[in-house]
Amino acid sequence: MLEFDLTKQFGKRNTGFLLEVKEQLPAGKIIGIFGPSGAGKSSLLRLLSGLEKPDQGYLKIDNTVWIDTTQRIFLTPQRRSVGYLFQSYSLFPNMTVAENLAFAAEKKIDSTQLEELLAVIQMTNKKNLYPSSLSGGEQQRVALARALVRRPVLLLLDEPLAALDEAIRTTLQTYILALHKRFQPTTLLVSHDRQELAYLCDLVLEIKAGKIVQTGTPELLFEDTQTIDLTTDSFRVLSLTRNEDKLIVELVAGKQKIKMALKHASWPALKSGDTIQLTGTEFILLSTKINS
Amino acid sequence: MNYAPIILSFQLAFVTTLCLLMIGIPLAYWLSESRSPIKPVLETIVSLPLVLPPTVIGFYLLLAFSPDSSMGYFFKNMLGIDFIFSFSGLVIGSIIYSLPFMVHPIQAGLSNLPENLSEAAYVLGKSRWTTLRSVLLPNIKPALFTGMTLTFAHTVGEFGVVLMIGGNIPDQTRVASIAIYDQVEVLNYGAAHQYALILLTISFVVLLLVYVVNGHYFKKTDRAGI
Repeated sequence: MLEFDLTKQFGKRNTGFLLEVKEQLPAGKIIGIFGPSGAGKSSLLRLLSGLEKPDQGYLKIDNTVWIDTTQRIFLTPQRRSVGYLFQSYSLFPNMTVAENLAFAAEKKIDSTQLEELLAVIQMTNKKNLYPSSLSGGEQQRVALARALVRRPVLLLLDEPLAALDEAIRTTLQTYILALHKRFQPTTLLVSHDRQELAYLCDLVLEIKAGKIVQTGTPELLFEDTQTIDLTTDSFRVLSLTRNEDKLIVELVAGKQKIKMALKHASWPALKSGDTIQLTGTEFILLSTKINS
Repeated sequence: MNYAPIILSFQLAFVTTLCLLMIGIPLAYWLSESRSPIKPVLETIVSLPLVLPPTVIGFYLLLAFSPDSSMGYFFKNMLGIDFIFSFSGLVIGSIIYSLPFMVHPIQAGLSNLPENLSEAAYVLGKSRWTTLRSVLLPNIKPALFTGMTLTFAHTVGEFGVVLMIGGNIPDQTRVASIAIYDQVEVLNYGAAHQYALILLTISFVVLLLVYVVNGHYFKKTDRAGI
């Protein structure tokens, strides 16, 4: 269980920004954080990681107190079991992929653990390359694996895919899911992409003007829509249910979420995470798979 | 030609560069990270030697280390160190005089690194010292190189401070720049020319090295997209 009640005034009282956040979140889940820019999403992650110090409040994870201002407890980032993935690539340029991962270990890294991590992120053949030789997506894959080397109980992902193009984002989402499944840290993911949050998260919370305004299932991300906007470029497959010869597919795009039935025989390989396009001609609605 | 002043200049420059490396790195690190209200005061003190006449620094050091002052008395009578008219005095004077040449490039190098880099190391459980040693310093090699070479070259070319605190004692405090002055005074322009040419060549080579190495490094990092 991750519990916090934290207050922090950023800047001056009149012109600055007050973050007041209180929540109890279940352990081992992926929790999405969304809200407008400047609402305090990244500031919340910085408080949880120890990179910022709160003015008052407490932070407890699995019954271990990390912050309690009444008892003057404040664990520095070094003393917390935290993994942090920044939006910009923060790999150390002077170290190779393998060295970046090895540096993250508390003691000398076990070569089996290193090889396993490299295999999960499919970077075994690039382990001796420096970050400057890697693409943006590859760098984030390594940074994600590095954040998990110490097996943190709390993983904080601060818009990690925002700078990447859509195809790479989709691939990296599967890596996030695979690594989360493997290590099971309580994960907080900040993102502006509702499809991404719906695909990855068990829970989502919305922050507005420094306060958590609602918490719930990813349904919160979407408005109830009766109409489909076919000018939308693509829809993401959120879930699939087989019903006799039909596939009941949940599709998301922006704030739209729709359910539709497809002939199973026409879509044998469709899976969650795929992107499809809907096109309408008079009353006939056609769907085309774009990529996976 | 007597090479002792040249050798002494090099010894002084080497020791000063080594001492300033040890003082300059932590100082530059603190200045690059600190939000303390005393930071501008410290930055001003570090930069003072750039604008002060060297004789002013030399004069105050002379007063501070004279046996009549409490500090001079303490060093001479308690620790047995005499900074006036000695090589150790030249080192102290040179450290103060060349301080900005070491601190400024390192501070600029550290400030230009993305903030994420040190924060990424902290959340990986690394101490400030480990972060500095293993992450920050290896990524500011050109700044370190610039700081070291400029400090070395600047110390080799020192005159006012060393003359004030060290005087002009052959084999002890007579460095190359003072030897040039001596030779000109006795109208021995040939010897003065030899010393001057050596200093000119060294300064040129050192600066050329800084520009070539840094130019090569930046070209490499530009290609790599860092």
